[in-house]
Amino acid sequence: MTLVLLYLAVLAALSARWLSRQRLASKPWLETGMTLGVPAGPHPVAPARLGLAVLLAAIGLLFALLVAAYTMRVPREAWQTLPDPGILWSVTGLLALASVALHGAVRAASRGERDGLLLALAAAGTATAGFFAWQWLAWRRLLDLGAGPGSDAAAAFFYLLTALHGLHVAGGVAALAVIAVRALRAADPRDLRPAAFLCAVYLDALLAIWLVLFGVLYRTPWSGWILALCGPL
Amino acid sequence: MADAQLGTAGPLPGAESEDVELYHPHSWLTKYVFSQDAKIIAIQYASTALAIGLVALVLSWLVRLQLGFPGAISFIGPKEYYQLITMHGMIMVIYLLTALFLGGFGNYLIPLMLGARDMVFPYVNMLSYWIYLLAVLVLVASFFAPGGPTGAGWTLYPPQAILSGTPGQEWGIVLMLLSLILFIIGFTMGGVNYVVTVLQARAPGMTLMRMPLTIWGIFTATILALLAFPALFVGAVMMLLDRLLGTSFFMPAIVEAGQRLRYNGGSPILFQHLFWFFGHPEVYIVALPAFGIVSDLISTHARKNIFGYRMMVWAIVAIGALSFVVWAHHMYVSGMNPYFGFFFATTTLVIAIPTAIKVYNWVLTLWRGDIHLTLPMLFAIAFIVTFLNGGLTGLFLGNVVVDVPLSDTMFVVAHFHMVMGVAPILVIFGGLYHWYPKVTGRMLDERLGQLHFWATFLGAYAIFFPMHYLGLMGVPRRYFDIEGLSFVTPSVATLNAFISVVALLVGAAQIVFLYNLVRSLTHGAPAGPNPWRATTLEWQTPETPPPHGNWGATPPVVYRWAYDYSVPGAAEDFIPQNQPGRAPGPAPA
Repeated sequence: MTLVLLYLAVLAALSARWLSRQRLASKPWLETGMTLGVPAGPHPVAPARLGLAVLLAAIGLLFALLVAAYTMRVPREAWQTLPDPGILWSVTGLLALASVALHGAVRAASRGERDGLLLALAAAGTATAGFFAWQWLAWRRLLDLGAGPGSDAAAAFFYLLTALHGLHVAGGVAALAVIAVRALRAADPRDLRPAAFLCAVYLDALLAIWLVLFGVLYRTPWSGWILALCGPL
Repeated sequence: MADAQLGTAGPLPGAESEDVELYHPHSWLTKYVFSQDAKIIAIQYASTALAIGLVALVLSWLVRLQLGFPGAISFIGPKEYYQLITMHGMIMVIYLLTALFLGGFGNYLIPLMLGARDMVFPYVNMLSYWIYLLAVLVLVASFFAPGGPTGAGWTLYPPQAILSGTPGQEWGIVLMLLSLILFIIGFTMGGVNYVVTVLQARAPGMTLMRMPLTIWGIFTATILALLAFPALFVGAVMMLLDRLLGTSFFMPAIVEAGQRLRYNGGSPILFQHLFWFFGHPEVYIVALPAFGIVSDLISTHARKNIFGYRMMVWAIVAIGALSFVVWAHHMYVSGMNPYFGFFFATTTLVIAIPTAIKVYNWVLTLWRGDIHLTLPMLFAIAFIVTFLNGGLTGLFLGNVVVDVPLSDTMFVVAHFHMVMGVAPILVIFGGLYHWYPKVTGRMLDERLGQLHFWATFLGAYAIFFPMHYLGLMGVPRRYFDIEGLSFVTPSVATLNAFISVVALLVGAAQIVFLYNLVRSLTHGAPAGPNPWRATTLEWQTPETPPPHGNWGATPPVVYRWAYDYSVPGAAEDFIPQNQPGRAPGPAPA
């Protein structure tokens, strides 16, 4: 559970930093009037952005718990023994491509370029479709090797982690589809910039989560860091 | 002193919120059924929670009948008994208490108390309720599924939860886990809404330190829930896969009825960690809104500012933070490194400090207050006493050496019913009596309310005080029948029968309350806009019940904190938060 506690500690530190700016030591019973607003920040955050941040914090903890469960359940010798990791590298690349394409969509929307926006959204959609196809291929390969969900703990976690992550990516794809439909109808593509930005951030977060999962499931250059964070309490 | 000019035409405070474009319903269906108005959603949440709570009440009656009069009810066997206690516990903790505090009170009070027109994501808010309803229906469906609902106990511990000896192994456990997963998805939608609304939709002038403690409690509890429910989600999904796909996340190699099952190497302790990582914060997910609400009830009905507001806020935040590092105190008897036991015992006891601060502050708020023994106040005082009692027995159980002999006895049952069952439910009742006039425009019947209060309060003590003694005498929990056990004295049966009779009466009193809720909709005395002469914004709406959008043409501006009661020199004994003008004198801290 070290990873989970670290994750919570980071959230707690961020919350404490934010709370420290909220005048929690003030004496509201002595402060009457209407000029006592929250100290002005650089820019108020849009509700949708804040909502996404809160949601991602919860999703992040969900995956941190799953990784913690993996480390508690799967014997050390069975860690990172996936066959044919090339598929997972492809999955990683495709997800990164989708993320890059979505950032392209944000830039196109900012410039008001409808065609550029649609092209970038199509590229992101294609990349995520590829992501799912290669993920499915990875499942097929494992099943062909006789490593079904009930075969051992490492395989079971592989299906669980990739399936839950895939479901979250699917949510992002649904949002992407909505943006694409709106892009076809919108009078001004600039109106879609906030939505495209949120979608891009969401996929960025899922890419980051995937990199952690990949580092757990297969030996990657960053696996050592993750394993160090996942040590026993 | 950070005093400020009042009632002047100075600049508005730094953009706590801006007025928003509301969704307006176009039909009866979108206004009252698929409504995006937080007030309607709150009523939907509360009605659904009370309805499923009624089911839990009937289940508890059946449990008590079996314990008090073993064999009297022919259709209750050991299997049915386990199903009854499991469903009673799960419904009460998740589908009633959590849903009612956050979905019910949260939806109604957050926008109104903060001066907002609605939640920031009304559509998502609506989805949240319908997914909650679906979760409830899936849970209820398990009563009608082959084999009935699960009888695994509300903690759903593997391996027994999915072994064939446990009732509901075929369908019941699957539906329970699916229902929990749905509940968590629905709650997450609502929870994101509550947090963002509190942070971004507050009226001008409504700084965090001017928020009523009810909102602080609901806000902090929502954050806890957003961080705690993922653990239950993970546990539920993994157990579902163990049950359906034959994975072995939690299931060890095990022999059942002489046959070795397909499972191998799973860790039941892993499930316990996940469950209690959720389970202990869950106590505070229920308790923190109760703390907040009771603070506001006491201040309003004692006509006195809350004592130590800042400390109350800090205590809420501290309790919320600490609640994440105490989970393993539920697992002392599961075995752990003694140093861990020491750590978790220490953090558990440390939580008593901010909690005690709150209790002291409630008592000091009452001290020399102009106490009106209204129904909300009666319930609030009853809560303080009950929570104190439940908290004190928690100190027993927080210590490893005392906990071990008391584990799995009726002492534990009595403890958590006092602290997590009766106490928050008393606050729910207090809150419903307090805010019903705003929701409906009518008062609840006073005489029926008094009957309800005294029957509930005295009855709860008649039930749970003796139950502690049963535990000290070694009576185990979760036993279908304790007759014939050599370590159980004959007097236990008498005490059990007494408890059961009282439980039936207390349950009947809740029917009186439900009758009062319905009858007062048409027969209650008109309440007027602010029958309790309260300061907070929800009582200052231009219409009662508040219309869609809450505030008419102009949203309110906040000039003061929520507790200006009995201010020396003021014309009345309360000054609403949206009333401009300097308070005549500084109120005591």
